[in-house]
Amino acid sequence: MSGMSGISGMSGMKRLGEPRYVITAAGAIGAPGVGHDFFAGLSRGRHLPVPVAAFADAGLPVHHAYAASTYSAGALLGMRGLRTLDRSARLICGAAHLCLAEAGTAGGAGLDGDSTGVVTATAFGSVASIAAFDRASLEEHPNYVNPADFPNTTINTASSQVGIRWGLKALNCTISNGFSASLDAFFIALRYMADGFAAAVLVGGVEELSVEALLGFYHQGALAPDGEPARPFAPGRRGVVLGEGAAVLLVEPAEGAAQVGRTALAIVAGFGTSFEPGGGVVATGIARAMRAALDDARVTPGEVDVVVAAAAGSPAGDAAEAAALSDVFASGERPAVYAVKGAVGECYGAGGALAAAAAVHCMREGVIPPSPNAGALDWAPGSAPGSTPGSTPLRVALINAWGCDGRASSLVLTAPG
Amino acid sequence: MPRKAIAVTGMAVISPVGTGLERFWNNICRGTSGIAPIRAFDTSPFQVKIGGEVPDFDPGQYLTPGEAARMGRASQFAVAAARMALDAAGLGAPVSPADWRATDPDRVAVCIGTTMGEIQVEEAISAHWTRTGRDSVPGELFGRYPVGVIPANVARAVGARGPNHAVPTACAGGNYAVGLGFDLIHCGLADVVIAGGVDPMSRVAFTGFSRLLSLAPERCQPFDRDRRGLAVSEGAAALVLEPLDRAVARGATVMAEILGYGLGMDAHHVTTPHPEGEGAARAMRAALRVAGVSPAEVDYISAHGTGTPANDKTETRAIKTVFGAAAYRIPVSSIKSMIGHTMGAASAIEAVACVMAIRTGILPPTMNLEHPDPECDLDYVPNQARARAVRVAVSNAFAFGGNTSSLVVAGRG
Repeated sequence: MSGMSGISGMSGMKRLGEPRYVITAAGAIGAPGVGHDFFAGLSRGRHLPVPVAAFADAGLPVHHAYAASTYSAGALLGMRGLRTLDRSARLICGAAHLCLAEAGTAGGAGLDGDSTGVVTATAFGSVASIAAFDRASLEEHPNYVNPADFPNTTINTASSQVGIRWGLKALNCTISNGFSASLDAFFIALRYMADGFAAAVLVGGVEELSVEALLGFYHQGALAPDGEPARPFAPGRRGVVLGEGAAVLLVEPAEGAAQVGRTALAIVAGFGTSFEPGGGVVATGIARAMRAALDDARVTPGEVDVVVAAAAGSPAGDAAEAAALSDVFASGERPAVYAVKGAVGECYGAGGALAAAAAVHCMREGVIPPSPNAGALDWAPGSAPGSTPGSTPLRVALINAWGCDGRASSLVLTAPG
Repeated sequence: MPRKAIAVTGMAVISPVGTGLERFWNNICRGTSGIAPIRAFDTSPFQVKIGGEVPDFDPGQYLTPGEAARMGRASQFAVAAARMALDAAGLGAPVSPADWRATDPDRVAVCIGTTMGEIQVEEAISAHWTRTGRDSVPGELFGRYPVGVIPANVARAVGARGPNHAVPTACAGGNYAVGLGFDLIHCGLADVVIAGGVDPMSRVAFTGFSRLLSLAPERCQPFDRDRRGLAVSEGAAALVLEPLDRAVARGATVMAEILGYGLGMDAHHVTTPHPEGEGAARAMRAALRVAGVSPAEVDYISAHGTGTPANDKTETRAIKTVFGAAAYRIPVSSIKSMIGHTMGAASAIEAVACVMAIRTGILPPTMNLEHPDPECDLDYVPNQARARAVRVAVSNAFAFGGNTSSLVVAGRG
């Protein structure tokens, strides 16, 4: 079971006789829309942040974000059991519902709860729930707070609510590795399946908008001026725009999926990760993660058709990713680059899962949406984005996730068959 | 295919009964209590006043003033534990990637489990916010809060460039982190893993358990008929994991081997365990399967044993489900009777306790166990440490949300 290659992540997965893990369904919620609308919305060239009610009286000059404003948990999930779920739990349960519906397992039918696990990522958890609980206790009295709100202060609650709602008992894990958390969740889910804990895993990420996160980003000077769209890689970019959303993907061994008649949408082919102790976004760290993922997938840079980048409009961060792309891809073999955060905003720990869902959509439809709001790019894509659906066979997608904490991870998806 | 054997080569503990491995172990073998009136916050609005705070932690002993000043208490604990554990493992005192001589720093990983993370940072933010208004909150506090900063701070402090994981699976966080470290070595991603758990004393956690009526009023009494609840505590532990062959080749002291771990999920309720202990049993069975150990080979079980009426009853039931008649022959104890519930640190500290039980042949006791409960009828090593040779130990940790886990630790040979 153990791969011996020094820099491999999922190494061993592709060796003879070992299972290949595939994605068989994907559900996503974000600013572009809910479910099918999310994916259809990605093809729009322009995405603008919207006013967020909670930000209006935060005392900061930033009131706009990429809110998932068309999402109604009640409409999607029904009102039953929603009362104590906070925004994070509602988002991830919604994405799980969409994923299960696509897998033909709505309501859990056709999915064996005993052998299905859940691994989801979040960088902040429901920081709004934690802060509200604490402030209510301080302002009123500890006896004033509702004990039913206490579970929302532990970071693993959103993921656990998915397991509870659909009776998924194999395992349940939450991972909080900053902005690379949900790509790391794929790696962990595959290890858990290799360990025999689960035959299928719902892998995902979730992040909610909160005043607390807004204050944090604002004080770090990371935010674009209010109302400006996120402009990843664009020369005049002035910062990130916060977003919220969730994505959940069903990952299982190819043989298992075939047995129950679920179509493989993509193979989870490789993973790489790095940490730069010096802090900040470092091009060499991003490049190290990308190379490790390509090596793990036994894919050469020239074979990559599309990179779903993590660039979100940060002047320094996007420049670091552009430099890493230039480093990994020689000038003659440059893939198209799709900067999905121009459509969904900076969704921190959920970014990788939303990007993976977008990559699956690109591969399924054979289309690369235009990088939104980009204008002329710092990084010149090798092939024209926005091509006709179905005209571009996309066989290899590389997904990046990185953050200012020094973490970077990359995931390679390949076309099945 | 046989699994790669994984060695524990260094350990460190920061606990309510003291900082440092020897101090911790001597105290819990003596039955010393670390539970006292809480000083970290004002307990006057609460009926219960006690918890377990670390009495002797001096950040300056392990961190530079600059490091200490930019970290919350969780990161301070985690960095200190990591440095003590690396020192114990004979890996020196690296502070940058260049300091890792015989090890590739790209292959040094950090995995830290936690329940509340840097919650004292959040509590400071809320205190400013409610007292003097939102605008009075020092801006730099926000960046110190996200849970991912804890392993990132550890990696920066020791120059680790490998996989860096924060695993907030609540009160099972330590076991999940050690399990992830086990996997990182197995899949060839790491040669050295610093794995552990951490939680600082938390007003939020205390408030929540208070409102759930889950706090022990005077002392923590796991498995006792009259048990009233848990004691909220703080602490940290770190274990250095390496491939056994590599550890032996570099002449390291192999303290024990991690044979395997297992996970499960109650899928029942966010705060109440499954009445039959289904997820707990699933985790124990999975751990024994991965470890290749039969129930009859297990010599000791370190219980989750929080002291709440529900946990101790269902955990006992789950142990009987998995071990059958052998359950009555296997000593089971809860060190939470002495140090309280250190949340995400608990299972990391208990993993260390299992290694020490194996190395010393002493089982730590379950203190304050005075009245047998007909529903908790196993051998809980009541009130006094016991000499007993241990080769294989199982350590349980179950969390809010129903996230369950078990770890299997064994002596060499």
